[in-house]
Amino acid sequence: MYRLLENDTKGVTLNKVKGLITSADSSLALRMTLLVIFLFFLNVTSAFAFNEFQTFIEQKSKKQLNCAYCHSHVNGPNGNEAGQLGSLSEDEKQLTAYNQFVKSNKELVDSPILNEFGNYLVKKLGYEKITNAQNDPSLLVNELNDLDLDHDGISDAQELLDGTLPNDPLDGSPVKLLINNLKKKWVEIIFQITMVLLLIVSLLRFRS
Amino acid sequence: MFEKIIQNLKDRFPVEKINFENFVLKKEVPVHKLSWVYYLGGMTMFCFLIQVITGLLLLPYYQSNIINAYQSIEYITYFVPSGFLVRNLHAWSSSFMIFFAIIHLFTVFATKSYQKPRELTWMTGVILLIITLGFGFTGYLLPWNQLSVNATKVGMEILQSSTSFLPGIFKLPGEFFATNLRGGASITQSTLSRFFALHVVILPFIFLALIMIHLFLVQLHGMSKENFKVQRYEKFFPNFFIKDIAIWLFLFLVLLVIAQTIPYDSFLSYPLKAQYIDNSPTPAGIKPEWYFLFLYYPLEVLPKTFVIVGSFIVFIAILFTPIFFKKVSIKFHFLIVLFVFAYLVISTVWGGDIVQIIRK
Amino acid sequence: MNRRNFLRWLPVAVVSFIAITTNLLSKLWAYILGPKLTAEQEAKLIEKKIQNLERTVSLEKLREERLLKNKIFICNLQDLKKKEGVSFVDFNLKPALAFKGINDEPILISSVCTHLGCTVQNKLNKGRLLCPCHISYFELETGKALEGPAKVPLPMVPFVVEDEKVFIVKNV
Repeated sequence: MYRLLENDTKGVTLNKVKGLITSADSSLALRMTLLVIFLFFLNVTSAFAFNEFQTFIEQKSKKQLNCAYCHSHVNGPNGNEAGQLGSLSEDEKQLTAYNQFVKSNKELVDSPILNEFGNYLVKKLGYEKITNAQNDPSLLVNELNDLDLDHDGISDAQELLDGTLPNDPLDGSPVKLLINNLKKKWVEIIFQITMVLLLIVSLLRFRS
Repeated sequence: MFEKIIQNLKDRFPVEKINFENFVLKKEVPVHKLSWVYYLGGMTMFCFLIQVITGLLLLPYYQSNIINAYQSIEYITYFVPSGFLVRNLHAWSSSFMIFFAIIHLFTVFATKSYQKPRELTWMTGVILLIITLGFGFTGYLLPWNQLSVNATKVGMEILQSSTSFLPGIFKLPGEFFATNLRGGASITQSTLSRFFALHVVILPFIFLALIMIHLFLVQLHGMSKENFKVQRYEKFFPNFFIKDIAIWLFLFLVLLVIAQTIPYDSFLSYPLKAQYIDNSPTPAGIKPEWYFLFLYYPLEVLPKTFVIVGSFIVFIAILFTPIFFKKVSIKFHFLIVLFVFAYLVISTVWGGDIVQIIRK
Repeated sequence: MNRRNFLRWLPVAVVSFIAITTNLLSKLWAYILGPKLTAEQEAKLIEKKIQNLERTVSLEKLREERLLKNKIFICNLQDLKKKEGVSFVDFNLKPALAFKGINDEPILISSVCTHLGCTVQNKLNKGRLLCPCHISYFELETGKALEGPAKVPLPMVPFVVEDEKVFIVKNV
């Protein structure tokens, strides 16, 4: 599906293809042929959906990651296990971000094949922006500069560049987490440091 | 002959010294430029104390079966109030304990403080170090995440093939040991149960027994002074004791601040921290904890037999140091320590890069 | 010990000790009491637990089957396809695929990538088996590693065909 969008010239969009198939002017045979071709492309090209993002993040962070960054399954949406397309019921299949986009749902519901961050991305940026960013994933980074899903003090954009999970407050570059936690908890930490140092100093005074 | 043995024992166990005056009132500690080494053993023990306390706290929440282990730790880390702190303290303190144990071993060796009558103190100490590494190895599996299980798989495979280069029946011990430790041919629930039993009960019992002997001997013989330029002596009670406690408090403060600010796991990429599921793809970056890297990286580039035989020889040399290094000069001791320490630092920090370069 | 020193610093020691102990004990108390979860939070945790339990049940059922039987039914011969494999679990509880090969003979091959253990995809990519993790390609007929970081070939899974049905058999 996504490859079809990419390879198309700017003119032909998904809706136009759909229009072709559902157009009342075409004969039944032509419609069925077009539908078969449409479904063929659907099957063959769904294999590499969004690998561009993984490549981008891995390049920037110099880490080897996996699809669980945005998806609910470690291997991504293709497969039959829990969290993958093959295990979804027909009703659940309607909830994928793509299907919701096609139906122009106003209220976006969580997709069963995306994790918390994936769903957050779709809701914040919209399906179109995300698919456009396939050509230039750094666009995704720009959109996330001011957001911090897990409130760990590291912006989602920075977490993307570091290859750390934006939906886990304990996952992040250790140095950045140190600085941010010190900022967050400075009152308690200063209190602890002061009390322990006072205790140490007073104990040392008890020497003869 | 018999008298010689008796005399040897008497020298090493001067139990006539045990009385209140010697042990408390008159107990003295030498003061000199290297007096700081006297605190290292205590620091190691303090870290162990933290491990016991945080470990006991983790125990009611942790579930040692493969279905729930990962979730129980997630529960502790994200839901239990201060659960993150307890777990993080446990993880950081384990590394601190091993670090201080190694430095403690180095300083005792470098100052030849293992000599008569302290040979037994040294040997119990070496075994304590091995048990500590055992704690680290068994504890590593308990979270049952990708790194835990896969790194343990690798470690067990190394143990299994450790004797395969020997002839005939001597091949068997490695396999026998590994299979029994694992409770089978691969890492399963049996492995987790065994590692949990080792980590929480068996190793702690053995450790406690040995540390009591180790501490008793230290108290009996006092701090070594033979190879130091002693300036004067200070009283153990209250002066040295107070300084000891002060160091422990400072160490505790450092650990507390670190445990509240840096998650121990944040040095790992997230695929390694994900739950281990059978037949799931192995993420990149599987490697043992830092204190095993000095063995792990050589195994990647040098012939396995060489590394295993070499490690065994080094271990025997360390365990029986009071015999083998008796006649070696102190200067040479110091050089050995420098060299070994440099090797440990380089192999741990840059081992990965070196392996990559060699492979290309 | 200087008495004046002792009297001056004792209150400091006591106060600081009480302060730090209170700080730590209050954390300890909350820790021992445990968390108070909302209904949604508990439901989410239970859902994860159920997922784990279900996964374990199916794995244990497969394990039981492989202990008791010597021959396990995979699929009908007619269900095999040339370009898309039927996923199944072999006798070692590892994932594998069944295809219709040349001359319509079945090909049963392990789908555990020999590079780092990812599961190879069941749909052929240009007539080859593809592992999506680090992009390794394998030849279907022999399991040979063609392209990418995998070097060791994928092993075949022993099978028999009886009554137009495909069964996997234990490796002798």
